[in-house]
Amino acid sequence: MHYGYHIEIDEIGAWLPLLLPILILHLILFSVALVDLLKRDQSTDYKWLWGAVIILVNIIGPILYFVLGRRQRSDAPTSSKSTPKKVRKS
Amino acid sequence: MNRFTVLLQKEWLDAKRSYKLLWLPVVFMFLGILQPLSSFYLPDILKMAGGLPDGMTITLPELTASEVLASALTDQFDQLGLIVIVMATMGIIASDKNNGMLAFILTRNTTLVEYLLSKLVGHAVMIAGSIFLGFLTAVFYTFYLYQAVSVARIAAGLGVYYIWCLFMLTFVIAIGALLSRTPAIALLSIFVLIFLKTITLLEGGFQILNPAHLSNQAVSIITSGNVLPHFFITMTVSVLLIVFCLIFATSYLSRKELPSM
Repeated sequence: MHYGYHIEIDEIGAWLPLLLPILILHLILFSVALVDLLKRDQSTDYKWLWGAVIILVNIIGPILYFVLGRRQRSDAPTSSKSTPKKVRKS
Repeated sequence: MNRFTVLLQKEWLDAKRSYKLLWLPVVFMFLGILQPLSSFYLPDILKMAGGLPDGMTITLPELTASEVLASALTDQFDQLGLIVIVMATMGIIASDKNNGMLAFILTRNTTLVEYLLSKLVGHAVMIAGSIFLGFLTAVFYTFYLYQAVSVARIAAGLGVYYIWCLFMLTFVIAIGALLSRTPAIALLSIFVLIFLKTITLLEGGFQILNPAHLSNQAVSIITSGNVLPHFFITMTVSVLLIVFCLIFATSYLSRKELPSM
């Protein structure tokens, strides 16, 4: 969202209670996505790419990561890693 | 029934591991915040973003609280929310198919119906929770910025709207049973659902057979407290379509998936 250029500092104060939930929600998504990305065993390239998406794209970025970025492991039918893991899990 | 609860627990674990449990409600809460906030502050936002050119005047319609809530439902939940629901549910059958989980589950003594029902119930509960939380934030913001709306109307409208969401879910499940590539599933279901949603703009007799018309019914319930005509026919048709999608998914999977694997 874009709030324009001529914003006064006291106007921000008036808006803050309304914007605070957005900030908190964004922070939650953002941090969970980043922590999850850092914990996974993926190549450095992959982490940099998705890290950039998570940090730079507001709100949508972490969600894109959750939907598309984590898919690698479970969805690839030819990967040899996925099948034994799934079977062991259940 | 014991096997069913085990499958449900598996769904729950899956939702937790894929963080679906986290981001689905959060997205809907964003969407819920966005509409009251942006419609309330639209004049300010326009002014601060440089203002209109000189001599140009636009009159912004005065929105009432119930209209704002209704537009949160139609503008946000029905467009971005629809895409988000499809994206959250597109892989639920296809990924199980692709990594062999479906065949694995079905070699145990579970039936296909139990499996599909666990998928449906798990995600239906999750979507219900997300929509409820999202609309709750929208309601809070609207109550704060505008004025209160009758809670009974909101609850009734949301309940009607939820049937349309259930239809989305079962439709994606049916498409997911049919195809095995997640992008194809997402594209096809988003296309069809948005198409259904768009043709509700056309007034016509066939609307009563359109499940997407339920969101218009929900809007009408929230804004005026009355349903549009033929409400019960649309409701029945939607429920029948939901059942049909499920039966279709079951029969297709049982004919197609098992012998080949």
